[in-house]
Amino acid sequence: MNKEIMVVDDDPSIRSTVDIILKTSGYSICAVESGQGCLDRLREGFRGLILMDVMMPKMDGWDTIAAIEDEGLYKGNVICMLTAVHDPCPKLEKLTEYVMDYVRKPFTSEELLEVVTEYIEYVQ
Amino acid sequence: MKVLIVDDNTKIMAIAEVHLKKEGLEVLCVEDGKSALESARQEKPDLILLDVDMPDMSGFEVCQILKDDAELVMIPVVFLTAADDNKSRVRGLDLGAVDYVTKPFDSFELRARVRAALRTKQLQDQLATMNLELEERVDQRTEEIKQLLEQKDAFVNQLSHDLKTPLTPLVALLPMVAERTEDVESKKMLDLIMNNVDYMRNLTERTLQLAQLNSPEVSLRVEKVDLASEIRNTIESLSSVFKENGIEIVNNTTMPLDIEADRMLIKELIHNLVSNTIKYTNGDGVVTFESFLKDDNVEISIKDTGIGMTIEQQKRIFEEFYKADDSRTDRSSTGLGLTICKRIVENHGGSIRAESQGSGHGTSVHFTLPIRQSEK
Repeated sequence: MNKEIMVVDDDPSIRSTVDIILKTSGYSICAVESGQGCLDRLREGFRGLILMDVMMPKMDGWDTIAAIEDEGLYKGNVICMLTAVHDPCPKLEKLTEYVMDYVRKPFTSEELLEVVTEYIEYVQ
Repeated sequence: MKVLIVDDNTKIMAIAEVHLKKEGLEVLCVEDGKSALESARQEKPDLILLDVDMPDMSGFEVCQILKDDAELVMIPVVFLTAADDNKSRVRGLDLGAVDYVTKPFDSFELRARVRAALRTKQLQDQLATMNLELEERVDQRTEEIKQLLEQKDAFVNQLSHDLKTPLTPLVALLPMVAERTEDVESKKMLDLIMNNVDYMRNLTERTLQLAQLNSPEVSLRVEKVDLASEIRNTIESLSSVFKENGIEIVNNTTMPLDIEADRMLIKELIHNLVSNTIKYTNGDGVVTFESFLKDDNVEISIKDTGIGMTIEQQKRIFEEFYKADDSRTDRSSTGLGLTICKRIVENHGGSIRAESQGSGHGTSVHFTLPIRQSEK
């Protein structure tokens, strides 16, 4: 089942937290700090579950999803958003079809694992 | 200052004019009521010295017209009356005159009465100006306060939002640390820390929610909601907690109770109110739910047999951060739950109140929601 998980977040403590929880549960995970980093990994052939922060400097989560789609890198991946706001931004409704679910900060390890175990199944 | 003398007797008028000019006043003279009204409108005098007994239009008629005219009503009128005519003096004062001078008049008395009336007029004018200034300042200050409140909400919103990221490692990792800890003392300490982290999480969540409910931009996502089934679902989801606490549920709400509302907010409202009945009932109690249809509104009442409230607590229970038990250290309550309930109800155009027969006599909360939401 060696499917990979990528966490995209500009906050190092969130990256470490996700890394610790998922590694403890036996997942293999890579952490990047920006949308650009995420795109680079996808170009290198990453396929898996992407946990994406919404609010990031330069390129936010939504910009990143738009770029992923533009470059045709979406196929085979599953995206879940890490968010501190209650609602997805309504302006970006077009992009929400690429998003499977939302994990709201602050999340417990159980909440994160529940989302990961559910959606990693959809990775092709 | 300017005085208008109105008298058909030109001799008396001339004498009065001389005396009033000695007071340093500008004096205008007219001989009949019609000219008096014209002059009053054009010249806006500070005082009108008005003869009662004139042909065509009496002084009373002139006074009546002056007092009915919003532009002229503030000009004080002093009547000139005959010495033996008590009735006229009374009628003149009743019509709104400030004073009278009897004919033939004593020049010193005339001057003194005019001076007194003008002093009052001056104070009146000052008061009116001050009032206007005050109103302007109140408007200005109200606008400032409104802006400050908006800034406060935006700040609170940003702050609680920003707190969520640093809270994440605490919420997610502390339980994992606790699980790996063997040492009993360390476990106790970690429990204490986790309790407080939970409280911080609650507080952040609720503060953010309240700021969002306060924000003027937030609109309701209106859909058809069955209040009765929302209540039933909430009761069912908490049924094990009710049982644990020995609380019996009597649900007398009638199905269906369809209203137009924001479903998520209504769920939150009911959940908060129902949780409160559990929190404030110390075992073995009854919680009763009733529903009433009143015109275009639905009223729900939730009554418990719990610890109740004092009159002081009833007054303040919906205030932000108010805790009924007055304990700042109570970690089970943020003091925001009922404030959020009130905002939710009010954002729907409804109202909410809490009643109690006093400490130890249970509490009942009643809220009313309109069946339809008006289009915005």
